[in-house]
Amino acid sequence: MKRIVNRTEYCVGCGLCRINCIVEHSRSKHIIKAFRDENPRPEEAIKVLNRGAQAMAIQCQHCTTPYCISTCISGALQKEADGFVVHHPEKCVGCYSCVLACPFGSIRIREHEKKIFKCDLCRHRKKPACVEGCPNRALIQEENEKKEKET
Amino acid sequence: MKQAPIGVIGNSIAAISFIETLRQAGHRDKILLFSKEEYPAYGRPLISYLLAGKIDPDNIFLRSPDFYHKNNVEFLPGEEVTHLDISNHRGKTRSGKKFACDRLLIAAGSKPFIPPLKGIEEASKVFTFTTLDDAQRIQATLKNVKNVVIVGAGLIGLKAAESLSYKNKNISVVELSERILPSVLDKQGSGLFQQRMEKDGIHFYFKNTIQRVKVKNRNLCGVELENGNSLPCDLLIIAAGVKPNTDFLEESLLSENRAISVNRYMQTARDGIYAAGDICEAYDLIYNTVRHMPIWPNAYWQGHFAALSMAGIPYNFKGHVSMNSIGYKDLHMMSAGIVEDSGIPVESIVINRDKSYQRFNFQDEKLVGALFIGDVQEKGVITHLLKHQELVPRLKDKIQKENFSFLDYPREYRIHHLQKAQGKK
Repeated sequence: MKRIVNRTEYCVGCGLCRINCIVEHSRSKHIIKAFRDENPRPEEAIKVLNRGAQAMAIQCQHCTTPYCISTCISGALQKEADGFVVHHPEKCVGCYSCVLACPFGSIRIREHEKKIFKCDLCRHRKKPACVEGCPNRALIQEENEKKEKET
Repeated sequence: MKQAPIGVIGNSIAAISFIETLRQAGHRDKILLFSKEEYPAYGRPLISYLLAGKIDPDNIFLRSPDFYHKNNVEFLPGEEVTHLDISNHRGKTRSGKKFACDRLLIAAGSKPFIPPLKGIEEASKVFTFTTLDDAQRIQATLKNVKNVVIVGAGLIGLKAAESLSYKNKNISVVELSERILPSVLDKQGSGLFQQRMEKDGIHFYFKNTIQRVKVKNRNLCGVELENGNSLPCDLLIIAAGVKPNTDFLEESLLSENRAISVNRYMQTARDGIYAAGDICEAYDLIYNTVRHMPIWPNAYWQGHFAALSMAGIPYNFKGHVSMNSIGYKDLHMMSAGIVEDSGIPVESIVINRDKSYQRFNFQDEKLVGALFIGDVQEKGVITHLLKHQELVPRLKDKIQKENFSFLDYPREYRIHHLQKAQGKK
């Protein structure tokens, strides 16, 4: 599967990945409408972390052996044959067990919906919006050559 | 000689994860799955959401309808295994169906513990609350119910109270200990949940139990508490905990906790027989002991590891950590490890912020427990440390800060962990 690789040594914390992610997951797909008019504002699936001069962007890693799926009581989170960790919001009851389990903090809570939200790898696009918008290639898309295997 | 199919007894998350992992590992032998219940695997904890009317009944199933077929599983709904002759590799179901098994996963789960209550046999409208049938039976009686009494203020009791509160019933909870959720909350946390529930008119009777069930013309009409009080009651829900569902098993498989005893490869005392989930014991990493830990993620991992073992794939596993994430309406909590004193002396750090309450328990330089109430975003970044104690000395101060994140982890660990997650290590 094609994964997003976080090359933290190139990240300056500019936040463009986050903006692009929000626009991509908005109803209008329009930056001004998404930020100003859409209420509630679309959630970002990528988070930009800053600590002094250090920065990194982080999103769901679609782990080979995901903790989140082990906790999901409703079957909303499942791993597909190609390795993709998919969230079915219609099945999500908002127990947030996955939030408690994700070691990256990459599963977000949407308070108004009482459901979670996470990176869908923009599978409907050729390239994820965050990767496309990253000016430093701190986020790149990479085919995982090794067979997705159990660890 | 043709081998008999792999037998699986039980049809919840341990069985599902066993099947998924086995197939992912390339193991193709046919599986015969015996399920006591008539339904495809569903999320048992979802029954409270179903009773509350919060979810569509079609969304209760854990996997798609073609799951069994797709995975070469012969699914036998309504076939409860009642007899297992392990020495002769034979079993029998309640309906009389016989089967041969050399390789078997026992994942028959747990069942509700029902305390001996005087009068309970004669009374109608007494239910447990762990299965879809329970939820449907309760649903069918609700129209004529005004007063509900729930025995037990644990996770099941709390969710039962929540769903019936949405149905505007008059609810009383009777609990043996002195507070709500004593195993997953500290005293202050229990207080917060109690206050929130009392705001909805739910009454609590702590350090108390039901002495007698009052029945009039076979109809439940009230309960008498140990302290002499009487409560009106036309629906009684027993939520006093669960015990391993081991009645059909021979003694040689069981530990003194009456659960199946397994080694780290999920093998029982008998060759070829594996067990996973609520029916067996688990190694608790924090308490450093083997105990019965009937929680969802443990069942998932045990099913997963049983499949890896059966497929001959080596793995490393440190142990389980008790974790719970649960809410009552708008109040949510997450709890991991040891949150209240359990005989082990701990150094506690309590942080009260505007709308959040947090507690960290340390023992020497180890993080042994964490509790979050209110603000629960991204807390997995902290609970991850319970399994990676080597990082605790460096992060002990940082986790107490509001904006603790994955970036606070040491750089080399971050890189290693990201690569591992993506299967590059």
